[in-house]
Amino acid sequence: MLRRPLNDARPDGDGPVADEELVQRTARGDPAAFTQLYDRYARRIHAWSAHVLGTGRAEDAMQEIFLRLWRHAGQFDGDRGSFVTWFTAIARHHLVHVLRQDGMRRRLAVAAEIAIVLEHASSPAPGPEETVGQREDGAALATALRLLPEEQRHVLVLAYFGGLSQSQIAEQLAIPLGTVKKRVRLGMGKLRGALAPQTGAVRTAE
Amino acid sequence: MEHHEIRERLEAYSLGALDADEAETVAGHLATCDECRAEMAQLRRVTDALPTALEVTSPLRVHPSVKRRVLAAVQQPARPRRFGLARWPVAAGVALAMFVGSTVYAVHLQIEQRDLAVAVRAETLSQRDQLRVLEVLDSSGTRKRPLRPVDPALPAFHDSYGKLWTRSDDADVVVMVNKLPQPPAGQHYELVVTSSGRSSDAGPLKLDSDGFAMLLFRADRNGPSYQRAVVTLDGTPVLQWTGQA
Repeated sequence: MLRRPLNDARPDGDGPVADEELVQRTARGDPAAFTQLYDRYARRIHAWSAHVLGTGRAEDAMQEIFLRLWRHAGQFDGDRGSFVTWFTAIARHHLVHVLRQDGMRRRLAVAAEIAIVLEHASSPAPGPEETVGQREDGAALATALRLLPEEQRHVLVLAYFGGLSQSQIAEQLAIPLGTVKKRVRLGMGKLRGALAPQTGAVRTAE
Repeated sequence: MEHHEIRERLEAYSLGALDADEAETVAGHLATCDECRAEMAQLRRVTDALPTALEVTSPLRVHPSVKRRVLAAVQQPARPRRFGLARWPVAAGVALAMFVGSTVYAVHLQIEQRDLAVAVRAETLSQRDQLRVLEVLDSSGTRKRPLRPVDPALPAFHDSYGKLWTRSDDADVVVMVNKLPQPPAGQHYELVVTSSGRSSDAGPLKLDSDGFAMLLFRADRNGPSYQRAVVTLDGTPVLQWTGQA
């Protein structure tokens, strides 16, 4: 049976170069390292941008997000977290910022559409080998989201993809703030339980 | 805030769903609490996987041309802009060009980000008109003119801006304005264009709740050349573009 460590990239040995090393090389102006990061993350950033802003604006958003990666790579600090966490925060910040200019009605519609896409999760789509572990997490999470009660899924998607605060969600859905907080905690707890344990774990490959 | 109160907010914090003051309190606590930091690392794994969940379930695929565009963009310094500053002392010229350039670029970005979104919104335009807008905005013969506050000192219009697009081989004209204050009851924004010394009303600008409006109209000729374009509120100019002397 094939077994693969959970970490996608192994800096030691023959495995692919870790994202963290690539971003350090990018900070030194290495276009090849940047290109590798692009190849690993382009699909994710594109899908996210397109579902949040529409396909017409997705390419501009992608360019802006990857430009920020290029320009700010030197600010990445591996002691404070992983590359994927850092880069995801950059992307979310930009996408939510742009989406906020579209008004609340559009933000609610975007969250509803994303919830529909996530509900049709099945198995991970093919993608870069280096991020296969991440995509397995993504697929596990999509499945877990589908199994969540709709009201919990709805608040999580409104918050993360729509950029709404808990108070805004309570106001928009006309429900008590306490109810929103409860749904957020319950929903996040279930999603967390759906991801395979990370520390010292190995994952069975298909 | 007590430790247990912070702990109850970590899920919302990881989703970016706390109000600013609460988020600041949580961030401050995280800097000093190993237990909450460890908890947050677990929650981050969930939130990091949310866009990945979209990646693996979305049927959308990125076009290969985007890669070329992104790689070209990162390998080029900021586009040089020419402002006819040849006779200025170099340092002053560079400083001014950077200021004007960044402002123009910011306006450009803000408007461009909305262009296509508005164009593809079915409730705003028919499909045919969506395509007309795209044709005007995206051609090698497209000319853009910025609309700026007539009186920058007026606070109500301080952040307002707009743009007018024409195309040399077509008579369609697109105008977008943003961050205009909502008009008082009974008053309306209109676009007035001046061509060959004659001013004419091009049409109304109906604001959405964000102060954004778009107008698509046909000029009397291809590539209309205007001396002036003005957005008026109840007849008073508030945004304008005037041709170079």
